Amino acid sequence: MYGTTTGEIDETQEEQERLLAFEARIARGEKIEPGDWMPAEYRRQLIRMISQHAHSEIVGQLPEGAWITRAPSLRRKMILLAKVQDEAGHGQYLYHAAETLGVRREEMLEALLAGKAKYSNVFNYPTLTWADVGVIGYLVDFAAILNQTMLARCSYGPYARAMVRICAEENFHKKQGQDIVIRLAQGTPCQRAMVQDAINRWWQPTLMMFGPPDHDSPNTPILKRWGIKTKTNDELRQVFLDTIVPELHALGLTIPDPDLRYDEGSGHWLIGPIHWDEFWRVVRGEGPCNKERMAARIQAHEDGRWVRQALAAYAQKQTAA
Amino acid sequence: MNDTQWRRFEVFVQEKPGTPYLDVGSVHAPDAEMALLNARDVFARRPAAISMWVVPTTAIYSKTAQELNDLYFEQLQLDAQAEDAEPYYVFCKAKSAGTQTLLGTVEAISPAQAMQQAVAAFSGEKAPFAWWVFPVRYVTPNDPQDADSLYAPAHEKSFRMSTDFHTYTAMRSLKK
Repeated sequence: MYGTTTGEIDETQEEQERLLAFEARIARGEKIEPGDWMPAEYRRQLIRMISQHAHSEIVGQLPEGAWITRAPSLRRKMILLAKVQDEAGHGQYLYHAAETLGVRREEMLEALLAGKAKYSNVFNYPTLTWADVGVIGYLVDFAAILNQTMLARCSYGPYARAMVRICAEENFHKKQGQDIVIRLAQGTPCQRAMVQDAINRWWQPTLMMFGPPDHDSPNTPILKRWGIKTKTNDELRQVFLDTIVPELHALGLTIPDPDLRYDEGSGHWLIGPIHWDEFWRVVRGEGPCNKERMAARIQAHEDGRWVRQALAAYAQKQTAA
Repeated sequence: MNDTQWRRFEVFVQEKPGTPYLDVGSVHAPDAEMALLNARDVFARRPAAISMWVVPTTAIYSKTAQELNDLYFEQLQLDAQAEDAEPYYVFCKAKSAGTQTLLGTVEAISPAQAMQQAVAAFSGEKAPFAWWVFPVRYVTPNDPQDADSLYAPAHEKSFRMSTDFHTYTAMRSLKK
């Protein structure tokens, strides 16, 4: 009875009304839950972000995990073990949040192991000294907390809830790192030199964690419109600088940026150029540890195979019995 | 590589005596027993639980307020298959930023009927944002006798807590 054309128009109109209703819900601050209507692009962006975030937590275990056996005391060793175990847990929270959008954990794991998935660039740098463990906790985890505190308010319910859990635990990560940096900064000349060297090496990679500058970040406008992000990359980076620069100075440490200066007018710390050419090189897989990280991840997966097989066999036996 | 996609189990936690079970997320496991152990490692590394349930995700019948609005009463009836009535747990997300929280039980012959009864029995002044119902028989709780060995160790590991590190005090005294 109805011509094809009319049907198509109805469909487009219905789609349009759906979109308006969806955006109105977001404007009211409502969380979107699995089962609710959402634009395909909202789903796609969330799967992209959450799976990358999950991979970052999983790969993020590696740089610090390397220091568990070499921690300077039993207490520091227990703290570092707990922190690395948290990262594994965070990866799980996030894979499960992504699964509520219809993607399977297996697909995501395969993409990671096949080298097709992205994860945070910062984990492709080496941890050369114990001070690196402190600086990663202090700077890298603080940068992560700023991003994650924003995402804890995001419009997708399962992602927001995972972030609330993660932020509470990341606060421990940051403070244990800051604690190490404070101790080293007040230590012997050798310890001070070690922590300064770690800051020199981690400064740029940490600034890059917030992502490309706003003019070069094509996803940001739609992410803001749909309440996934509420701040831009540059806005978050500025919050980081305004907190961390005075703290490092108070500790008697310097920041490896000759252009760093305080702008009285705006009340912000301003920095020189970020090494974006290096950033894109590492994204392309040419960072100092990309290959090592992937090799370690694949090795861990293979080493765990017999455990997975044993568990599956046990479950099967229980069902048969 | 395809040996990692076990069944999903939704995890529910009781935080303190007398408080309702809350949804905290999910785990993959080959069976419910392993799901409970995974759930403990993923969701109770810190003092956060006195009891846990795992429920196969496929057993959970879920409807958001929006889905219920879109459905006609008869449509919900359609997938009802006559079986013997059994008890269902009813969970709802009452606040936009909240999580699925146990409200009580209903008796029903199908998930759809349980959902109808849940909505009729538990809708307050403000309609919840989403509902979950599932048959009570799908719940695997941890053995109460294991509760101590599962959850007590977290209480002794104060070094996992951010409150164990006095960095704010240290920084304040440095800035003076």
